[in-house]
Amino acid sequence: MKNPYFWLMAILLVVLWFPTLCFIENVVAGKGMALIKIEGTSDNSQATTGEKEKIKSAIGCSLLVGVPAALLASVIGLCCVYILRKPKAANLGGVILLIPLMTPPRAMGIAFASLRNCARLDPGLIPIIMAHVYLFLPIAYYLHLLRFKDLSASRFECAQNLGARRWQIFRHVVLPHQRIAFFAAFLMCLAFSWGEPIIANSLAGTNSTFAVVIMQMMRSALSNRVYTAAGMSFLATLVPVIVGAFILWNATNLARKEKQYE
Amino acid sequence: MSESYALDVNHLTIKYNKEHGPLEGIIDFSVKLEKKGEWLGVLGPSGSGKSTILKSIAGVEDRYTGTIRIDGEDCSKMPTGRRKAVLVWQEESLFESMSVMENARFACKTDDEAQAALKLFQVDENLWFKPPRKLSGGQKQRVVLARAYAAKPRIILLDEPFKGLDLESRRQIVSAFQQMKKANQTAVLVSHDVDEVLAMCDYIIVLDQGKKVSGSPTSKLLDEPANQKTAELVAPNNIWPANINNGIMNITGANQAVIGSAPVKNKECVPGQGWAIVHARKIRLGDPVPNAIVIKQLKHERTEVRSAGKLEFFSSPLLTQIQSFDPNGKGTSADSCWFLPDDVWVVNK
Repeated sequence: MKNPYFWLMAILLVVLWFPTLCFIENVVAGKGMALIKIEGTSDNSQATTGEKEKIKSAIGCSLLVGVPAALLASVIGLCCVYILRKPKAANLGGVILLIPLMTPPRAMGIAFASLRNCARLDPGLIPIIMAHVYLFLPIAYYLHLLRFKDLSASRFECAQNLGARRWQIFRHVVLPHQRIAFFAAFLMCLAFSWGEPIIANSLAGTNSTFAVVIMQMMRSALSNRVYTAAGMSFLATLVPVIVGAFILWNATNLARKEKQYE
Repeated sequence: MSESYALDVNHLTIKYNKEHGPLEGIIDFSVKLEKKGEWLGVLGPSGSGKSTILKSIAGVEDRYTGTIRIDGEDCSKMPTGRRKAVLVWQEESLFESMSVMENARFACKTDDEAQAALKLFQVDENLWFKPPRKLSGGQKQRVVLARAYAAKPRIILLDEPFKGLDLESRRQIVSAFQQMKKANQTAVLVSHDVDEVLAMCDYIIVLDQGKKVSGSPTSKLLDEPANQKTAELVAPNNIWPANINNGIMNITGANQAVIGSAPVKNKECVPGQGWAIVHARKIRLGDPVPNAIVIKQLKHERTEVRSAGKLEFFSSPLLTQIQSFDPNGKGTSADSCWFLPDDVWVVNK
């Protein structure tokens, strides 16, 4: 308990749960009161039919963006880890791949919007997916790298020694080992996609993702609807993050125990 | 043009430091295996560079200088996959995504070759289409060996193939090795287990801290070890201090008492302190013959009888330790333990 990291995470979790508690309280109390009344907020918890449709469409849109983006990011992250597997290349690649995370999202959104205009693409899902893949790549790469470090060098060398080609090594040695990291990276990128509003907003056009819709709702007023939507959003984020983190932690832990045993 | 040796390693030099493992040093290694089908054994303590040498011959390790020729072909700069020098790792190295059969099939051309190899290593047919995770440690090791053999290598490099295996698995693997040998398969065997190396190999090299301490045919190594380090490996319990003078050695036991004298056969020995060595298979139990050097107090002497009678080790002629020997003299046939003076070898301290 002396670890400051633990306390930081605990505080973050409490803060993150706040909208969710509001959401739960709203559900329990029907269309009742918000947990904490904030001055200037609206108590109008009844969403209009148009708003409900908008939220439904935004959830669908988020999934249409998030699933392929997370999948692609996980695939590309895995390929990057394999290609940059030598220590020097991994260090350099790791730093370069951090650039998307360091770039201000608004700037990245504008950059992708310009690219979309240059390529004369319609404002639609594909540019958002591309931008999200770019943004998620560092996350996927580092999650894959975490698992890849547990891959025994002897398996790799053994395949080379038996005359395996690069793709055979990838197919039979790397891919089976990275399955768990692949799934974890997919879940985490999906969670990230679910809550990413800025790039999505820059590129959305008529297709607004869930995060964009919440942001638009928050601009007008902090209502029970906003709490509800934020709570749902948080819950939907929390589940894949926890599952992804747990399976990856479990796999790396097991691998370390096996090494100790050897 | 060099002669076509099965294996010709000439001044293989590798510098290794803490980046590559727990030890630091330089390996300098040369060896020639003349005929195809010969087995080279490499013995030595942990950290003496045995595995690094195997990896270099296989081409997995490439930080070396010197030349490596396999079947007369210079492989020094050849990538590992083209050398046809297949290494069997100490660690588990089966491909998890493949069945046992697919693993065995990985590096060979036909299913028949893979099946023959699996049969040779006595991998049960019920296991052929199961994933490696369903196999026990011994079964996995046999599949790894079968896969290596199925690849039809010019030389097979075995790094501790018996590590962590039960007696039955060892027996099956030794039996397969003997068949491999009959099929003219050249091999290098690295092991901590001296008995297995002695049983399988035609030529043995002893390493210490990356340097060759001795190298000789197995029978010579057993009877005439070149130095103390070699003697400690091949006959660790049958070494006594000796005084060498005028071509005779006086062997001393407990309390510095002389237990016998023997002629010095080792021409390189100089007068002074030495070690008298008798290999286990030369030590006998029962009534001593005249002139025999008798060890009476087995429990208190610095000895442990490692062999007697005609015991067999994995169907090979090597004799092994008798665990049931009674050091208190209650066992009737074991009261006298002796060897002939001519069977004693001596090296300087």
